[in-house]
Amino acid sequence: MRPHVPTLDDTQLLDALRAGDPTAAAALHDRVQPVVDRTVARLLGRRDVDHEDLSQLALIEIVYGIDLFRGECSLDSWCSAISAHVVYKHIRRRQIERRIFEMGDGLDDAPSARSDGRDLSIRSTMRRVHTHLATIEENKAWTYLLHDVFGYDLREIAKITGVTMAAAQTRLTRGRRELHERIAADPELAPMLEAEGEPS
Amino acid sequence: MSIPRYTQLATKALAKAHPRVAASTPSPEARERSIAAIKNAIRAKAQRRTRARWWTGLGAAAGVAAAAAVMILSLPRTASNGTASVAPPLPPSSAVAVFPGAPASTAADIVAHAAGNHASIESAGDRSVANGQTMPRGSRLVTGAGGHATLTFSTGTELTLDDTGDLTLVEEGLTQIVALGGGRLRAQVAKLGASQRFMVRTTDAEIEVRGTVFRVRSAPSDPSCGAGTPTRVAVEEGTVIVRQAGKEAVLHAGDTWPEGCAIAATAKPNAPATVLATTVTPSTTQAADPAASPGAGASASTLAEQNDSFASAVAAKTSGDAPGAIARFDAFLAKYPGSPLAESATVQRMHLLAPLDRKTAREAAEGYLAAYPNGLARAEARSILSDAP
Repeated sequence: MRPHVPTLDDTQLLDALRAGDPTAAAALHDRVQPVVDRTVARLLGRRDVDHEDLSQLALIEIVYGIDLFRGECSLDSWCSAISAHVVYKHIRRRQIERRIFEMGDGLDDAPSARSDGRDLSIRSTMRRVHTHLATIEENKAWTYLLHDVFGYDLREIAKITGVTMAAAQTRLTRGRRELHERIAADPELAPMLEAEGEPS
Repeated sequence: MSIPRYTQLATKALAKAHPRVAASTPSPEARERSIAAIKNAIRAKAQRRTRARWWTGLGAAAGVAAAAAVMILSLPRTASNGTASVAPPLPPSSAVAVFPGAPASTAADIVAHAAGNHASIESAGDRSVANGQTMPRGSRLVTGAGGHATLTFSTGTELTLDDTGDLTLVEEGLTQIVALGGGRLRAQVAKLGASQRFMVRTTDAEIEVRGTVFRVRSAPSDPSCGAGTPTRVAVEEGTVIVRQAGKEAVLHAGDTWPEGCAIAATAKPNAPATVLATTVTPSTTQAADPAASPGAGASASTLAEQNDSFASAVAAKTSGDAPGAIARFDAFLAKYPGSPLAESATVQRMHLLAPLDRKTAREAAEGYLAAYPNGLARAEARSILSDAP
């Protein structure tokens, strides 16, 4: 099934949305659905039962917040941050923060390096990393993941998590330090990570 | 700013587990659903803007008119037995917004969002509320098994009604009141003005909040808990006042009401182990979850109780109440010694004790190493033991 091609460019689309034109709905969907879908899938996992629900909620949030988009970043980046915020609120709401640390969809989506023993080793390493992440205070763990793993900048993370940039920076620094300390204190995990390779 | 080494290594490993993924193309049906939701959101936003301009134009007179509308059109309190609505029992996997016979008042700035396939908003009588549309006062939102819905208020307050929930919008305007007839509600209440109020009513209690995050739930009556009240409240942030039987209790972040009562959860298909406090009235006529067997239901309920108890302890820790958190972890471990969360609770307790009570922390560390000789926190436990007593 081929994706629909939006019929309006970004400027026309934004103008139509701000004017309250409901006929812009299809154009908005076709323009931003891919980035919304990718963001939700990456943060929650493709096979999460709430994927479609959250994607739809993110689209609605984009409509309600479109007046706040000032072009300070690309529309894709802005929509990605809105989607991440929806996922973040959902996870906090459901107190399933440990799902992000579970081994289900994330690893299933990951490309397989080698079969059998190598995969088992990678999974074991990831499981232990996730376990340590789960012992870190949720806000710090999330900030670290959003920044270092998922690539959001501090301004976006502040918006996603509802704090100031300074608070996001503090959480990131502390989250990184605590994760390092926990792994360093794990005599089995530290060598496993060393064996996985040098940091990029 | 340099990144600690093991964090860099962990990041590299985690990036493999969470790779960038390609977008999937939605089915035509899913696309149409999403477009319909977007259209409704666009219309609702335009309506809200129009109303905002109208109120601004009227100025002080609009404020007086709104107060008068609240007094004149104030609806009777929703019946406490949860059967006031005329809606028939619902089939699973559906959500219905039901409107009483009274004509709709000025549309409330309260927008309903029902999530995807697990909940749908259907019409009752001659009125319908589609996803993204405003809900007038007196309307009722009911979610079936597996569904949930969000109500967004113009004040910034957001309510989330989980599956098998029953919520009636009793009042809107300066005083906003919702009645929880069944199910589980999470309320994130925005900071209100001096003349504004927000309340949740259950069958036997009224919970008033001002700028906070809390959960309300009804559980089966237990004579040993709060003299048999079916209401349970847990506060995440801010302050909540609970009024019941002529008494008033003030709850702060991390507090639950009644104090010391377990908050059982309704089993939800595909739900994660951790759940939130909810309210389920004893008189609810919601159909039992067909996917749940008696055995599965019992273990899911116990696991949910464990998660609620654990989450309450973590909330106390997060709010800076270390002694309170320690007490909660103690209670958790006493009640659920074999829980999957027992090791985590033991580690958390050990961490909290270390700066407060070295002797007890050492005992905790010894106990941890005895119970979990290969546990992930064994290095920390040994470190506590190696410190001078």
